[in-house]
Amino acid sequence: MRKALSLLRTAERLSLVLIFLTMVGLYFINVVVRASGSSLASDLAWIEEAVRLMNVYLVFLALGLALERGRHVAVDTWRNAIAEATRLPLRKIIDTVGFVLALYLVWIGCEMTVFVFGTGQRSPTLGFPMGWIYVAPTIGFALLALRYLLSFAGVIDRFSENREGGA
Amino acid sequence: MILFAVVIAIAIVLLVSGFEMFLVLGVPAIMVKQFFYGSLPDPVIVQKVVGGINHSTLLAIPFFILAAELMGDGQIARRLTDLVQSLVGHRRGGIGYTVIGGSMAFGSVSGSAPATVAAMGRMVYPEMTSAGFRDRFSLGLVASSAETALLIPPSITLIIYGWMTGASVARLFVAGIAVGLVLGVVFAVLVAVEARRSGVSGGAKTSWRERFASIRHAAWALGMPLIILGGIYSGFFTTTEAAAASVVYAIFVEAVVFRTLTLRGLFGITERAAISTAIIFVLLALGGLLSYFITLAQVPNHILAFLSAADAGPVMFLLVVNVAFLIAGMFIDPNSALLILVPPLYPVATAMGIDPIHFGMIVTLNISVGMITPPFGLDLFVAASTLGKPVMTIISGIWPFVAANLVALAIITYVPPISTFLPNLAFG
Repeated sequence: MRKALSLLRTAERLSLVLIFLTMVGLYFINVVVRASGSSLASDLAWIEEAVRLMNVYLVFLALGLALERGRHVAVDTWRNAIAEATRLPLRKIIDTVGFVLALYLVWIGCEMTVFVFGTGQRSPTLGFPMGWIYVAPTIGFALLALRYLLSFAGVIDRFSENREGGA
Repeated sequence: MILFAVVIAIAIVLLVSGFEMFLVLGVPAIMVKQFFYGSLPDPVIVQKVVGGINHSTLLAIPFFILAAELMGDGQIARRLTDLVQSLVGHRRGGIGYTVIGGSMAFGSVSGSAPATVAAMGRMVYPEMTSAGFRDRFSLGLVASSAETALLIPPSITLIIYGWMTGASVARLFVAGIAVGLVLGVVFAVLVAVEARRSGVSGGAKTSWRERFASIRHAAWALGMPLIILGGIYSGFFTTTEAAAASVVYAIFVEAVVFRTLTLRGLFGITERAAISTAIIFVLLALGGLLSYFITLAQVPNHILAFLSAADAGPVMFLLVVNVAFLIAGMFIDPNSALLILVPPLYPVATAMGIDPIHFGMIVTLNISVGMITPPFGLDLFVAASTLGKPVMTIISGIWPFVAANLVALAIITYVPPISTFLPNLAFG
């Protein structure tokens, strides 16, 4: 179990870094070619679309890791006080709500993916089947659901780290 | 109406109980969909979630985040601050001006207020107290100067505002410089008064030879704002292109010129930046879903009807906007505040004839004031954890800055040309 989780983490981290640096490289090539006034520029119109697709994957593949590391934004000032005052297992409730929502999004993500693949719709410049774009949230919310479940079961402790919020 | 009130109540309960912010945005949005728009097929939710982030303008955000992480870890931020210090450090209270100028310089390459508090706090706070500034004033200055990062381009908050409203990001960036400078001047006045009161002396006078040396020392670092600002304003780069170029430049300078970046370091920084990107984008995705239902429910029309029934003009409306954003900014992060409040209020603002760029400045300044406003402003906690001080000590020094901010806010709100003059000059 621990080993499988550690393998999953490595796969997630590697994918994120590879996708991100490829995005930077591709977009930069696009900028250089356009700035040089080369006629190649119109041949590279696919880069914009490819980088946007990669960004969608980057975002969703990072959701689970971000939760595990306690990095998602939350107003946690009153969490412990409310849990003590109401004697509710608040952390377990948050994990449950998060798990149910993520699982629901996985379900409708699957529906959407199958539907769009079925229409045969293709992207304008790359020509790839548009269903691929909906695979990203489906995988991403599955990774998120898994982390909520693991947190509920006490396998990971996502509440111990201090958070610094968003940008 | 009762169901609608229940949904809002649930959102508030989730917020104060410490649920992740994307749940606070997503759960009510899905409830509204199921209660009020049940005939829409469920997969429309996924379509809106993905559609909310699959946008060219937004690509600038991951690139700027990565560039900021690279520079924060490396030499670029430090060298820019050293340059500011060599230019103004000799004046009475000079280290105070260095904090303001350094925050603006760091903001001009990072776009994140908490990152600026952390970086500047570590670099210059010890020097402030040893120069003779009172401890609590120094803490207040470090926490509040970082606000300028939200206004000085490249600001992630302004990119998101531009994406939500369709306002030009380049125009917003130019306006942000003017408003950021107003804020900087207001803080500088406080520093001047405090320096005189506490009898703070200036640093050692730097000769012009030394100043040129520090300009040379910072030359590579200065290339960064040059690429970002010069590139965008000359029309050479789009915002997203400038962001991508800034990443490549940061990698080149930190790895090849300064030799501080290793392959392992690049891996760790990229991973961190990916996670920071996901944290913001998941809010954009689920916030986009919420704003879709806010639009479907015609919330802006209801607000407009209410305001015209109350005979409230733009002056009154802007006061309401200020109060709403200030309160939101005190409790939630800047991006969530934008995502919740801009969709219902922006159409009302434009219907009242308020300039979209001016409205963007008001909104952003409000959010940044919220970040330092006790008891829950985010920057207060970042400053406390970075500098190892109790939050209460930081709060005790923050009040003059909150007051100064409110003065700046009133000026920006009711003198629109401050926000619109520079963009009109630059872009016609």
